[in-house]
Amino acid sequence: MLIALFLLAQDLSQQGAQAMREGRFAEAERIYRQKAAEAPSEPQWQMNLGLALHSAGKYAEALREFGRYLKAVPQAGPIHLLTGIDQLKLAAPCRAIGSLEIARRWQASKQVLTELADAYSGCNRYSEAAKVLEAAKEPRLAARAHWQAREYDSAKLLFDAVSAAYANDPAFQYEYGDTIYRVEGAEAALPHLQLAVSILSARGSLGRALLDLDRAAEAIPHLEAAVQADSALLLPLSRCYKATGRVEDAARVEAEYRKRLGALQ
Amino acid sequence: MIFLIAVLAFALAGSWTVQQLPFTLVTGETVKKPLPATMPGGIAVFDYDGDGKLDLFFPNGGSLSGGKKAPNRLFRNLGNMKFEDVTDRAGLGGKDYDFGVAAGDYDNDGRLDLLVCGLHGIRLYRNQPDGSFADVTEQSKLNNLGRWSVGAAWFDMDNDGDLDLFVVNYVRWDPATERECLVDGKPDFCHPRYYDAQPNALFRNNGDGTFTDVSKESGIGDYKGKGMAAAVADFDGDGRLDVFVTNDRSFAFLFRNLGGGRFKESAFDWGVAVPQNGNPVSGMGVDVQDFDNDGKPDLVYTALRDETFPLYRNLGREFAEVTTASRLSVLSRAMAGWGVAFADLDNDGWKDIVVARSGALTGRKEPLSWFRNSGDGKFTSETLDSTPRMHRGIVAADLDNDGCLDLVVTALNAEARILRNPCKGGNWLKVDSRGASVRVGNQWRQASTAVGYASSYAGPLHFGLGRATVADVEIGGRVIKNVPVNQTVKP
Repeated sequence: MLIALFLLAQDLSQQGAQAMREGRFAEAERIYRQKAAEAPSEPQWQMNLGLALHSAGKYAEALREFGRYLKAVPQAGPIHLLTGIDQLKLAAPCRAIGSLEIARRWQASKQVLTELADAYSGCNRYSEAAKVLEAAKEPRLAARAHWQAREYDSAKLLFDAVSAAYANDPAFQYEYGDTIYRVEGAEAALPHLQLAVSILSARGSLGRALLDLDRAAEAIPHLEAAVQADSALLLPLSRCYKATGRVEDAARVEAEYRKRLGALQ
Repeated sequence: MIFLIAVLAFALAGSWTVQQLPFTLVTGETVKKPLPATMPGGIAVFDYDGDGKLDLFFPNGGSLSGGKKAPNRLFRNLGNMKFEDVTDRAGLGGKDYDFGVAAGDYDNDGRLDLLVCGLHGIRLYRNQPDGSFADVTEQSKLNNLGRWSVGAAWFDMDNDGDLDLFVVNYVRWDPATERECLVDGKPDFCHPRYYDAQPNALFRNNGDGTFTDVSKESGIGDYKGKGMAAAVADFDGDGRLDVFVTNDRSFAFLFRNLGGGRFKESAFDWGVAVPQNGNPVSGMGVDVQDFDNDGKPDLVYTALRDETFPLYRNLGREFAEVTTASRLSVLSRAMAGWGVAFADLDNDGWKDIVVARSGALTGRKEPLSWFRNSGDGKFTSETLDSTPRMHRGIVAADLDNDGCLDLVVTALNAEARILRNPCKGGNWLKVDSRGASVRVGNQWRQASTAVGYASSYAGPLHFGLGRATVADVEIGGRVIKNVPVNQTVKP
């Protein structure tokens, strides 16, 4: 991608361009900083300086230079893309969305869409991430984003479409099984969740599904394992103990559930 | 003013007629999204003038920033779905920003009175012989201490023959300290976790027109929740009425009546504090009836999207959650609900579930839902009115006295609607039990003045009977044999 950007940056000085091509980003930075100081009215030097800083991993500094450039050339799609990427690198996904949406209008390439989806996901806007990933023709990732957005009907359609390719993928089977659990019920979900027992949270879903099917004894080991990661599972675990005659364990675990979950209310 | 309700459209499912009432539920919502603006919408269906036709009362909101109150409204049923707005004559316009209502004859004079729940307290309106209502709140000594109440239930807690009062209190809300909450960068209603929970209140009827606040000595006041709705029934079969309360994003309460004015909170012991998956839900409206015709009162309540609408079967000494087994979990998973009622809409002898749906904080509009009881413990989903609105209250009642249950619904910033049942189902009986629970054949129906969210029904109890032509009717232990169907029984 950077090569493409270099082509766009027609005004690179020969020295600066040479340094960039050879990966000498500190040298390129020095050259472009000097050029930018000498000709502040020529915004391409800020862009080139931004490119050098970005390439050197100095994302915060690069953002400043890109910002200056974009004030002069607001429709520069590639720079909006780099701005978004830098914000993602700086763990500011919500701030990256605006830049990446502009970049998408410039060029809805797979890379732009993938970065934009990352921004939406990082900002917990999974529904929008899913739509972007569908546009990027990434059905597996789009299915996950729909699942994270709790849009289970949409997720299931996509999971169904790609399920053959992920038959032995525990993460896929967990997300698919959890989706089926909610859309179709416990019985249909069971085969998938049983393929995902290497994932702790999948064991929680499996335990809940087994309890729904009145298979409390089978649910217990899964719930006991998963409860360390999810206190809400203490309640179904208590129900399972009770159903299997372990009354004291049931009371103990229920008390723990009330203590932990009650504190959150 | 007398008017004909405009017929707006024909909905699905056998030509249910959707009709509109000239009542708009005014929320006073502003860009700042003050929390009370998402909460109004109760309904009372009761025969205030004793003419055998069920009348309608709607509490209303208004401005939350010092402006005008939108008047509460009373509509007198003239028959044939004609209604007359008699609010001014009845003196029921109200002054507070109101949410819920409970109808009941607290003074045993044969006329149904109204308890209205508001942002700053409760008001008791006594039904006078001349068709007006007198505000007797002060004389009655009912005082909710200025708390925000969203609903109430009249019930005889001590079996002394008069109605006591349970008041559902929500949270402490102060406009001066209301915070700004953003969802996706836009102001939205704040999550209930930002507000302090309140205890509910219990008032014992002294039998002389006054009440005593017994919240503390009864044990009710020891429990703070974010109360949304109450359902009253004798869940444990000991002859005393118990109270189930849904709470917003916190554990539900089951107050078991121990007698002697004492209650014990037993929701965990009875398995109804939270769905068995352990994920706390936003408990919204609730209804209690015997949906499986085994003689014991069951529970259903609504919740928000992905929480499902939990359904509990009463086993006598505890509840079994049957949300999954009944298929309600799958059917309701993508829904958010407020008002809810058990109602046999097709008169087949099995009580269905109707839900007034919509999101809570996000403003997501949804249609109504009808979950038809198949009679085998499972439910199927039917469409009633596919129009998405911000629904709140729903009450099932036979408004045109044709033996089939119609529906009254409210929605935020929209007109109230009546859905008229096409009445193509089976036979029926209605029993004017005057507050007593009733058995007809193998069906049992709890007389409860509280239904769903913020709403109330105080009319004859309805039973669908399918093809049966006669049925035995039991009221308060007295059995009337071989009662012919398709009539209203008055003991």
